[in-house]
Amino acid sequence: MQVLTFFLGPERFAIDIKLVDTLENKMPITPVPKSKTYITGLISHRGDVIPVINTCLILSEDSIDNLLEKLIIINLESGKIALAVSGIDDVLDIEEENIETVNLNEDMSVVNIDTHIIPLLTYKQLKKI
Amino acid sequence: MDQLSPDNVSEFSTVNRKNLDELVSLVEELVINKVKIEKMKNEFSNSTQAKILDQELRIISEIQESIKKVRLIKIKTISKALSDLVDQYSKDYCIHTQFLFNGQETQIENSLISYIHNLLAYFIKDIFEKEFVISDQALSQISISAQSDGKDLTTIIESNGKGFDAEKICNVLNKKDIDLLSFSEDEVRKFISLTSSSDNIDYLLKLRQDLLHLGGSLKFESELNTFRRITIVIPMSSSIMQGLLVTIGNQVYAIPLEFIETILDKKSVKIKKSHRSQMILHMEHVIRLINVSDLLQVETSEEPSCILIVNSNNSRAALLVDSLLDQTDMVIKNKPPIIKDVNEIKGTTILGDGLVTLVLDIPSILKEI
Repeated sequence: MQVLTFFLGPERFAIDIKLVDTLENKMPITPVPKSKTYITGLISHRGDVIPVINTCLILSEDSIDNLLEKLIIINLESGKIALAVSGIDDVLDIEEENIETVNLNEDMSVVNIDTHIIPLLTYKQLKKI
Repeated sequence: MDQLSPDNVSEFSTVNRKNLDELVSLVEELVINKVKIEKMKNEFSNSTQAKILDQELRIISEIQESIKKVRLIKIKTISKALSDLVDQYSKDYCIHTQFLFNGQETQIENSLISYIHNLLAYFIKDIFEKEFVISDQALSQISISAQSDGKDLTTIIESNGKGFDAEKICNVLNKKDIDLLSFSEDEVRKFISLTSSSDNIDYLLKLRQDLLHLGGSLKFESELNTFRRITIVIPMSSSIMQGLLVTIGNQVYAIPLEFIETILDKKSVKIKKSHRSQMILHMEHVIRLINVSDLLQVETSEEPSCILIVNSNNSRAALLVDSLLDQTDMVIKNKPPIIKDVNEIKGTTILGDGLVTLVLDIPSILKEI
């Protein structure tokens, strides 16, 4: 499978490329008062209004300052969402055998890329949003 | 064979609903661009260019008006389905029923037709189950009438039958009249239990919630063992409407113009404090003053300077906002499902600068305060 790797601060994460619609540079975001804490705001993308998600918060990481450098637009059944990340790294081919599921509190998967263990953001986690 | 004269050619042609929706969304994009063109026009010093843009703007406005009319549909579209429903229940319950449907030529927006059908079908079922219980009744009657004044659609469904003592119910509930939209959910449940007028209360609450979002009203009138009349008022708002842009807590918000009664300068108004809330006196009415930045829980660095008197369904409030920016045409898009629990927001609109602007839900704000 192919994964897109991205940064949240210094940490590297991966996501299945099949979930990714497009990548966008940072753009003006409209905050939504009284919305859930992980919603950074709304953007206009090709005529659609898309919520921007604070990716740190859904991955249970500490929030970081320079999060909004890039946006990964994801297609979900309920509509599109944009994941705010601090940088895009690469698109990599990985063998299925290098993916391991770690049963912590949630269904967390990790991929082993050149002996680096990278958390893999799965559809299950995104669907919970 | 008779030749077809213009008189016997139908005045209607059939259009695929999907194609129509696509056309409407294209016009919506055109309206978004209209705001951009208006800005551009002011930057041109060359009068020929400005003239061409002026012409474009006029055409867009005309298309906007035409598309509003295209989206209208006659209410008679649902009369056959409702009449069949009455026939079916008449058979099932062995009740001979006279069914009248007046005002079938009334036009309403396409998107509302299935909602009105569901609402009327619900009350028809309810009438057979709960109203027509007196066996010696000469003739059971259900009459529906619809009329529109261009702003609101008023539909009345009346039946003779069991009914209830409206005055007594008003006294028990401590209300002047019975408008389910001005009731809390508990009050609606209490009203239903007092009049035992419905079994499917959850469905009624859902229909009520939808009507609340549309900013309508749902009034009951009745006399015991005589009649029951339900008046449903639905505002005929379109997704393309005029809005007033205001700033609240360093952010721009849009308020649909149809809800704004008056705009006042804060300096010219005396604000009184009473019972921990603020009031203003306007045209001999005491109106509650709401600081919108407090309501939205946003911080503001500006001193609020404007007061908007808003009105929906005879409920009024004075909204305190930081400043006024502009009046504009806007296309309201539904809010993304992820923020559907934010009741103060009706939807979003994209303005000429490409930024998403939040549209305040005035009926919902008036209901919550």
